[in-house]
Amino acid sequence: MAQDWQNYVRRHLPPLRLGAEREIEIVAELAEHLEAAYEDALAEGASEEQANARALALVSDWQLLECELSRAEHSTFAAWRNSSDGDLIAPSHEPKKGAFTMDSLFKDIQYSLRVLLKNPGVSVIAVIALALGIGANTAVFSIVNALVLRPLAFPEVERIAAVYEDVRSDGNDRHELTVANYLDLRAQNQTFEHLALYRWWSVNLTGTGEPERLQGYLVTANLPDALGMKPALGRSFLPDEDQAGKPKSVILTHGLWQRRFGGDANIIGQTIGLNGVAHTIVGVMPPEFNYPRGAELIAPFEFTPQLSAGRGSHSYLAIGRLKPGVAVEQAQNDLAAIARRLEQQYPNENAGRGVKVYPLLADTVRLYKAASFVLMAAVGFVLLIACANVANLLLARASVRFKEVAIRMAMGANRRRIVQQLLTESVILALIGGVLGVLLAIWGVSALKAALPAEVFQFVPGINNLVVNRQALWFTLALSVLTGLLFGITPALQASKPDLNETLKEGGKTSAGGKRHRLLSALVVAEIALSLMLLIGAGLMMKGFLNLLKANPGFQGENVLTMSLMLPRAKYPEAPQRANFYQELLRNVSSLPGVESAAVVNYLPLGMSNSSNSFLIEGRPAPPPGQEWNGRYRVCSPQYFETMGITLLKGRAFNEQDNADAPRVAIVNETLAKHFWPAEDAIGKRIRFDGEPERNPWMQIVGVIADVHHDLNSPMRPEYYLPHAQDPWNSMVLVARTSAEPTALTPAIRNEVLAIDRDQPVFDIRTMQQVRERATIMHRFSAGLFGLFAAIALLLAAVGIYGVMSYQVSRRTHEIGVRLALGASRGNVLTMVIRRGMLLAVFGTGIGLIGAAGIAKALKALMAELVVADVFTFVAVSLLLLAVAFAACFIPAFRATKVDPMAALRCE
Amino acid sequence: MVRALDKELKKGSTEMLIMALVEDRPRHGYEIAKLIGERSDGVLQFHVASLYPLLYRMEKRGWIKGQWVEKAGQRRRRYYKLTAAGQKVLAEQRTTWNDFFAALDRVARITTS
Repeated sequence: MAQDWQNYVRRHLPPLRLGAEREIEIVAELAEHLEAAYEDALAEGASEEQANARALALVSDWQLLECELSRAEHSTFAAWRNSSDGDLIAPSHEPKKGAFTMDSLFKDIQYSLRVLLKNPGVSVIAVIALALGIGANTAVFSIVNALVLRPLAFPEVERIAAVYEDVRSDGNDRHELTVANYLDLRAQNQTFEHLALYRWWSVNLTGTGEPERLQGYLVTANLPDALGMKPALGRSFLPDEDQAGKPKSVILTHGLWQRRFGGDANIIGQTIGLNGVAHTIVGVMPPEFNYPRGAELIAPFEFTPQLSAGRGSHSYLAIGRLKPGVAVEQAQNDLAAIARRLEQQYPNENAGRGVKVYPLLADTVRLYKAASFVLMAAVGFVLLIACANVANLLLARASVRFKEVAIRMAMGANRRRIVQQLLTESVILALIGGVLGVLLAIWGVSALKAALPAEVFQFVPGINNLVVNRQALWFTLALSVLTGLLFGITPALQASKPDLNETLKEGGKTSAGGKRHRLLSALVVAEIALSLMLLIGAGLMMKGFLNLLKANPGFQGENVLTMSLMLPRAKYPEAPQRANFYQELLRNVSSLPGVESAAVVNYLPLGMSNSSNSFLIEGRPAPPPGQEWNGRYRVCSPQYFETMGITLLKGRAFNEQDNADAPRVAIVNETLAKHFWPAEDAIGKRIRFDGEPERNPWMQIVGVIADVHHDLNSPMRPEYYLPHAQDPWNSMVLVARTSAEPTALTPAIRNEVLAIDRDQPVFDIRTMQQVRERATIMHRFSAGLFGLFAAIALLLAAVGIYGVMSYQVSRRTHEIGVRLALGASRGNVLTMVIRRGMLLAVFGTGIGLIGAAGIAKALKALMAELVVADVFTFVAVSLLLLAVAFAACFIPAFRATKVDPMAALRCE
Repeated sequence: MVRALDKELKKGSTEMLIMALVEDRPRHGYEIAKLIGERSDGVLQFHVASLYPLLYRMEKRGWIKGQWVEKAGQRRRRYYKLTAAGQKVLAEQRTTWNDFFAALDRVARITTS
């Protein structure tokens, strides 16, 4: 019986959703084909039934036919040209089996570039994610490289060690040495080639233009030898140039020579005035000389018999160059043995004082090391998240590429060859990301340098070398390749083992199902966990930083101008001269219009300099050697507490009557008063410096002030203040409370100084606000960077979740169609998709919370104000991340509800 | 290998085969499929699901042109003929494949005749 072939085709072919006319045409053509086959079979002698069967067998899968026809009809020329299969036909293209040659690599690169250009969307997102991740890592690596890995450019730097006094009672193993102890160590040790001593030396430079205050160091003549440095110009110090009675000489640093002397090649032999004493310039150091910290010039000590015998003044630092082959531990044992002998020999001065030797490099970087590694870890996380993101994208694309891979394998390419090609693709992506990342890093590092204040460059060793240098480029290259392999390997392995039979079958599924979904889900969970850890870390640091800013420092810093002065001892040798200078200056400054009150103090709060001394209490036995009572002490003028807004709790402030002829007085802080007189009134009690009674008379406590924070990261310590008139330091900081903008008064105050002494420079002119900002700069810096990295991480995580959810929704179109067809509501579908995504988010958040608790503890070491168990931050940040995850799920979920059940069921 | 060849032909060389078959005179779809099968001794087989989508694509590209023709005593059929653009593409593809086979032959001596 003859079929109505048109009717047959119309019944079996699902609607093509084309124009009615075109659809009729296609049905007619297909029917004609079947009919022709039927008639051929009959002509060949087949029975009607057989002929019918043969014709019907020509189309076994009507769904497939409909899909293929729809695609052909909707396709455009460009789309066809760009279908990835289009390339596979090029006959000369198929590589040799498994052979890795430059040629195959070159082909892979060409091919990869074409594939990447064909998916510009995926490629651009991947490159941006990678550029952010790699760029952040390059920038932080550059910082760590400059500050931690190679801050000191001395030959054989590993042989240089720092030597400290170990004060066991204090738990302070980085205490300054005395000159006499140093000389003993130097004479008796067996392990050092050179052992050198130095001390901070603040100098006024005169005799050449404007007076200027410089940062100098007094050093032993062998300090350049200990560092292994020779002057680039002139000579080093002669071995006995630090002995008494020698002509005064000085070596300039490269920076000072350039800045102050214009790089004058004939500078050697010229004379300059340092603190009023003529010094001959004998040498200029090369640019890489950057030790001791912030040095602008170095000059030899003058070891008078009195100085050499000193075992009381602990204000000297030592470094030494070890003999070749000697380890730091050997030097430690050697010097410790000498220190034990000195303890027995001089029990009054040396009891409880040992020696500690540290490698200089480790000692120099210890302040930045922890912060650097936390930053490294943070950017490492960012990069891991970026990798997870890109891996997600590639995994999703891997399924699209199954057919391509299957064809290549069928054509004879082996799996290794395929993996090689796919990895080439991801490494190329990573390298492009790396190039952009380097640009980002260069920009970031210069922005950072522009934001840092000048003294950071003077005092943070190595920061002058902070650039994205060749090491950073090597690092980035290695990192990029590694990154490419890291995010590429899983998708490549996945894509390279399709089931050939299954995939090549027309209409075969284009992905390997469950395993890939689990991988994607694991990546999303990891991304969310890592992001949460970073975000909580950043949140805690920001909050700690805010606590730091909010903490009452114990003074009122608004409208206070500060500037430093240092009267040269050569010009002001006598105490009354110094006292008179400052008294006259304060009288004049106080009467300036706009100045409410003015005072001087030796060290500013938060100024990062302190001075401490042990003391005795009247009526109490002296504590045994090694357990002295220690307190910071400060020297100030009468108006100081009023000017700084420091609260006087009890008694009185200093006044004009507390002069050199009056009985000695002191004011103590609350901590000292409570510690030593917990149940009594401290007022009226007497204390004195530990030392000879004739030179250290009793001082009566006349007032108690509220505690003032002198640095941010350490607990409050006992403090006592002395009137400047009774202890006239030469180096003081002037503080002036003003009625208007403080800096406007700078010229007027400077003029008052020059009116008294026209050679006297002022320096470090800052408002108290600036002093405070500077004290928090490292915190601000760390919190800011951490916050930036966390923001990048959040963005990347959001993109990652969105990408994976979109992909899963598109994979599940069929299933969603079935559900909708079976009566599921749009709401059900929405809930289902979001639930799936949020399950991953909640899981990731759980893991992230555990990790964040560990991170919080590590960060506590960086910032004392940080509260580890800050439930609010943990909860708030988790909610933020979950909200972002929800938004990232919602869009694909909403799209899922728009699935047309009929369309979804037909295709696929 | 047959499967791989099948795949490849469908994707690339089939276009050339089809164009070569309709070069001399217009042919309908069934005839094209049959001729490919016969002339390749059954090595190359065409499914309906591959043939017509490919014909429609080639038509869209302007390489071939289909036209309904009703000849006396026959059913109404759609005949495809080569366009000018198709002629150019065919010539190019012939050169490419010629070079390719020549290369293969030089290397692997595959010519059977």
